[in-house]
Amino acid sequence: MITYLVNGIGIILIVGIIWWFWLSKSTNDKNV
Amino acid sequence: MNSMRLSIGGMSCAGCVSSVEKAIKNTPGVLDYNVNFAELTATVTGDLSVQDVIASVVNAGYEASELRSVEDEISKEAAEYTHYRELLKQSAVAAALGLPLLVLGWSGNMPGLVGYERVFWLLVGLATLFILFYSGKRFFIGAWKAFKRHNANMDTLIALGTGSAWFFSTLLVLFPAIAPESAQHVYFEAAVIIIALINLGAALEMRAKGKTSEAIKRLVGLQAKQASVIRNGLEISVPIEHVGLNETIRVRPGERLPVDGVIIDGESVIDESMLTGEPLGVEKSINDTVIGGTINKSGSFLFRATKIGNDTALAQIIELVRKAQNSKPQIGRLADKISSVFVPSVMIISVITYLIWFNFSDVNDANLALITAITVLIIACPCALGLATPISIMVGIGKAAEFGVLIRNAEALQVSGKIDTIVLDKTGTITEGKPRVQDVFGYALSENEVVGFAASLEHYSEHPLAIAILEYANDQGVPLETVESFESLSGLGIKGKIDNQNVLLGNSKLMSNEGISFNKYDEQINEFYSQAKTVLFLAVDGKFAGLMTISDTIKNDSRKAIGEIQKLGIDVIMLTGDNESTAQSVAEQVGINQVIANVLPHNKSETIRNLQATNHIIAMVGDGINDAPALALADVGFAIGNGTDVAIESADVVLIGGSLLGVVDAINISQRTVKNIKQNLFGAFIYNVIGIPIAAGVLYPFFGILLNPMVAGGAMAMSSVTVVSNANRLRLLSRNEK
Repeated sequence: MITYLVNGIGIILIVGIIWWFWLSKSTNDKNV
Repeated sequence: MNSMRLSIGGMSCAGCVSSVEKAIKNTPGVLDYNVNFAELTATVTGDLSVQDVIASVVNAGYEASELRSVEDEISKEAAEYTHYRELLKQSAVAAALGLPLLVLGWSGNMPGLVGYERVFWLLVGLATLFILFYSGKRFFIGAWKAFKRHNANMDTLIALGTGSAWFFSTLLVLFPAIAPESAQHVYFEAAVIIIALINLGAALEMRAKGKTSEAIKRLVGLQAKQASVIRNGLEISVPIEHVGLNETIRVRPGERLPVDGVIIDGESVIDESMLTGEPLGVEKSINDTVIGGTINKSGSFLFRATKIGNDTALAQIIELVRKAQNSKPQIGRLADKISSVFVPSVMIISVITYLIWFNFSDVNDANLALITAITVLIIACPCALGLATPISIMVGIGKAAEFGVLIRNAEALQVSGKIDTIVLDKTGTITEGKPRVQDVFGYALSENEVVGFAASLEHYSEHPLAIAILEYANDQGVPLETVESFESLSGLGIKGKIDNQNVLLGNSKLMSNEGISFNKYDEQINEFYSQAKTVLFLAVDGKFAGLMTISDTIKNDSRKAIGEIQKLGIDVIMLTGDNESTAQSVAEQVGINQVIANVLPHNKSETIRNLQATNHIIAMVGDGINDAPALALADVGFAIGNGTDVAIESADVVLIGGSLLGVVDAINISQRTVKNIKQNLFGAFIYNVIGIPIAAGVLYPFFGILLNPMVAGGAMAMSSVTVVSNANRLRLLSRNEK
């Protein structure tokens, strides 16, 4: 049970980081 | 159009530079801007007010204030010193809690997580929370500010690393049952020791960074604060900001000149070494230009202010050096790109590390996942990467300025090191650009009489050579005599009556026209011609009486400089509008083998283009006016300045001292700086490339080697300090070092 929980949180974190720092950045931000 | 300089607060990492740059760039009206991480300043030009820029910077989460006067600079320095002391204090407070805990751990008497011993850990957890707040507040605030803007920086890594160490340890103290007994270990001491080490590192880095901007501080320090101005016949002392254009200023021995001007009374020896790098004092008398910031060594004199405020040579040098120090060369762009995606990547690596150890390690190693994940966050250092280039550029360009070599931008600095061919203009570059009397021979008269007759006649002439002869007579103390019936014979010379004697001065054609013979001196005269000297013949009452030779003198150090350039393996070519034989003669004297003669001024750039077509990296050295197109076209254009003229737009590098040795200095500094940048970048890359996998525990399954998060904190702190210290080595460069 705890293994699933930890792995689930880990994967959410990775996806979250990618989304927040790359995907959700506006085009204007990326050009800097 | 406004130009302003701001002090920027809150930039903890190179990544912040791009945030501040973006904020300034997006402010309406901004035309040009630069943010200097090493100096923590920004320069902005555009049609807008200072308040607009400050508002944008503050809006982006940083502090800003205008730097207008010397006082502002001093208060900025005082604020930096306070911050430095603050960092040391925060480091000490954190160490005060961390070190006893560390010693307790080593002694093996660490309390456990059972019974009353848990109370001890609860108190330690609270104390750690206080330290994180007191000593580590700026990391958490910086991380949050960056996070809101979808950015991550060094603060993010430290906040996450120490924050998660505290969070998991506290969780364990409150609920020991969540972990197996073998994994019941808390990491409060790691969190505080990391904070202590990183604050100490930041303090050391700040100190070292202060040294990198020493060159500019030294230049700013050259500005005099007061000037003795003559107003209504009275001498009064006023602050230099109040000196008006064309006002008369008195300078006494030992005083610093307040502004630029022209001497109107008196003479002196002036030490210009601080600007030109030239160690010897320069003699100055009436009508000579003087530069603000230099020191009057001997006599007292009066001068008229011709340039004040931001127009003075010193103000322009400071402006130029500052701008250049802020510019980024191609070599640093890659590091900038990497550091912008670096932190989020490290966060992902940290999560993956956790998951791998969590899923695949032995139950006895239950702490492995947490330890390695935290260590990865702590060891990664985007700062060293971001600092590697700008810090070396800052020191290199500052050092060059100390030698009187003004490098306009980082690109020019980088290319200077790759030059393989240097094209030198002759007049004014290799030579003084000013004709001087070289030899005087009296055959029927004494030498002084020859000079006296020649100078007396030339006094009435407007020929360029006249100045050389009059200067020579003046230097020798030969008096001038009255001339009657002066006549200028176009293309031949001049004639007149002195003491009832008919005196003729001119070229050989004039002599043969008048039937005056000088055959028996032919051999000697031909020798002069072969040395590219102009020969002037003097005849008195129809008889050949003596001669003078005039030529453009070769600068004292031209031969030495050309030799040094050739020693660096660089081809030297002389380019001149003179005829082949004159050009060859000068080339021989200075040791140049390749000469391109008879080139009209507007064809010089054509010559440069042809040379570039052969895939050579060409530098052109010349004056900023006639040679401007060639200087602009060359890969690197060096302009020979004359002391006050530093704003030569066409050149990439301005040699204020006027000596060719500046070219050697520029090449040396360039090569050293590029090497230094490469060392820094390599060091920073390797550090991260090796450090992160070790922190993630790749060596653990094979050798049992695991990095302690505190060691990682120390390594991280030292990596930035090492980069700054390595750049500081450039300050030790001495002149013409090979």
